[in-house]
Amino acid sequence: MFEIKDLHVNISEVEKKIINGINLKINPGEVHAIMGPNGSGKSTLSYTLSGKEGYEIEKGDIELDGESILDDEPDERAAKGIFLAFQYPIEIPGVGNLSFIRTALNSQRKFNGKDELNPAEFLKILREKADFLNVDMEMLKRPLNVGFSGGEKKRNEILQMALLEPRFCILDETDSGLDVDAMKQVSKGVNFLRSENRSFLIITHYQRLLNYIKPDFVHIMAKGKIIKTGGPELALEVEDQGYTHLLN
Amino acid sequence: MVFENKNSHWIDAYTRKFEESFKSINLLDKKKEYWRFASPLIWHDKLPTKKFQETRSSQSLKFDVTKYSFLRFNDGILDIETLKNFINENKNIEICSFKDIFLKKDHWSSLKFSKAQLKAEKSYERPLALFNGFNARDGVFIKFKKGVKKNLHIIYEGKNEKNTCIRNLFDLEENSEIKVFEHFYGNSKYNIVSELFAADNSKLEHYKIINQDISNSVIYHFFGNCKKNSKIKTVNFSFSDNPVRNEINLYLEGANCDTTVASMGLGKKETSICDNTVFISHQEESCKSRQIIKNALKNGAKAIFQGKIFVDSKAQKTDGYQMSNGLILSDDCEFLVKPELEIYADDVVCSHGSISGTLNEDHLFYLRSRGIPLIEAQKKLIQAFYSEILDEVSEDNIVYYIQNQISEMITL
Repeated sequence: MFEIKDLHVNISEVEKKIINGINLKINPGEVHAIMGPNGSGKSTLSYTLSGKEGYEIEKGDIELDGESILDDEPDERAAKGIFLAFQYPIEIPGVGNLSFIRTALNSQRKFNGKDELNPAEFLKILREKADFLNVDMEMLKRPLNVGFSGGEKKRNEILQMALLEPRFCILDETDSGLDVDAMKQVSKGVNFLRSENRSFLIITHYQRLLNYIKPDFVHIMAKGKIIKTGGPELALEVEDQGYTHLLN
Repeated sequence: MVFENKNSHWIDAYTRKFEESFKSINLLDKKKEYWRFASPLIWHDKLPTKKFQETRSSQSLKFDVTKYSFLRFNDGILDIETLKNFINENKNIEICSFKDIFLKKDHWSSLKFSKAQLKAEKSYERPLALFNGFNARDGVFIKFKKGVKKNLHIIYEGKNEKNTCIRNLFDLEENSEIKVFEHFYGNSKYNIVSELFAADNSKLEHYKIINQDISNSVIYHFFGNCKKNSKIKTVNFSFSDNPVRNEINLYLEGANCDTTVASMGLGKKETSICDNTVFISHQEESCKSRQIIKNALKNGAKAIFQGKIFVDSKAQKTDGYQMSNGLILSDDCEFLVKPELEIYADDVVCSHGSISGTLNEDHLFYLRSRGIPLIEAQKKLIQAFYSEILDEVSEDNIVYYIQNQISEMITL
């Protein structure tokens, strides 16, 4: 179970408070969506949960299975099962995609006391997942995200998710920059990964992604707080009427 | 003078000239642009230098010497056994030690000796190359005949802490394809001059590895004259904790030459200086040159790059590129850069740039967000920084060695 308790966050660089007391409990198998207007703190929340430097927690706690992860480094949080699918996956020239994914997988296995996979074992698993997600093996031989289209970058994120098998996945505006076909493709991958042991937090501006990934709960976030919670119908309401009436 | 028969041999005129020129230079003259960032005294043992780092590492680069023809120098003297073996294995290659040239009245090298160096001296005085010219005791002169393909390893080892001057000459005839690997180990203070004469359509890949366990300074001068359609790649790897100056002077004297000068410096201590001083002269049309310089620096290490692309008025359609990058891993490091273009032709493409910075925090976070621990993530990014140079390396063991060196750097 993943739980956010009365979370208050400052961005240290600009000394500005962005998150103003969020409470959220996400049980295994649940899919929660967070929607909200620009500047409501959605991306800050996703970076804070995954441990990015510069996001200073003023108050509150983040717990995984009842244990605080506030002191854990980003790689330790990842190895414990937290995965952030980036809104803008970063291009890193010179880092091979394959070598990166294998290092990530083996680092997590090592952290969790499992044997590391040799190249042959890794390639076998990779091929299976890549085939299902329609990821071209040639793309994996290129440097990490370099020259990838928007759709390729997002598919690469979902492929990493499929290989790393996290317990709690944060999708930060995964639909941004995607055409309808690419969004369907990515959603197919996410739905494939849904299971009773894995939970999702989907951050999005628009309801359309939720047509493909059906959430159990929808939360509206504004000014660093969750101001309303409901079922999938709340997303439809936002699509129909916008955020203004909720903010008022 | 160290030579015998000095009154009779054709080399003597050169050595006298070198000595006279050297004596006319004031090494302490701080106005010399050529030594703007680092005094020549650092590489010269006649004058006081600071105490160098005593370094011993178990990670020296080792090669399977059975795979290649190899030559070994001990304290600046060519090992006679390796020379004999080389002669027996390679009938289509003419080879002679520099020492033995004094025993021969006539030698093919008399038509080439010092020609490349003297041409380079016209642009700048190179005092330590001049010093080498009258102090070299040995070296290797090799003529690779037409169409020869060969991989050659030269190993320099030394216990003598004094100046060790070595003089080499590589003569590549038409259509020859040569790979030369040079490895430096030991305590010697090396001063090397290698002259290259690359004939039409010849090809040279030259890798120079200054190992981490070298406990003294190294200055290496590489003077090359390149003829039509020749293809020259020279790559320097410096892992030393002590000063290394890599001087490359290439004259592209025939059309369609293609040259790459690359250098990877890994400075881990405050005694480390990785200096690349490069001069590429485009003399004929349609030649291409690339300079790629990368230095990662930590704990007060320093790197220098002075690079010039000169384009003569005849050298139309020149394609010249120069890029230097510094990865500054601690605040006390310096990367001093002086990129230059001097162009007298009007139909050329030449670019130069220099970028320095530290590891990108967003890149680090992305890698760590996938479970890669900080040290591993840093290693990956430093390796990525060098990728443009590593892509030039065809030897796996050099790549593994570099990976090990990066690991060691991170944990220091």
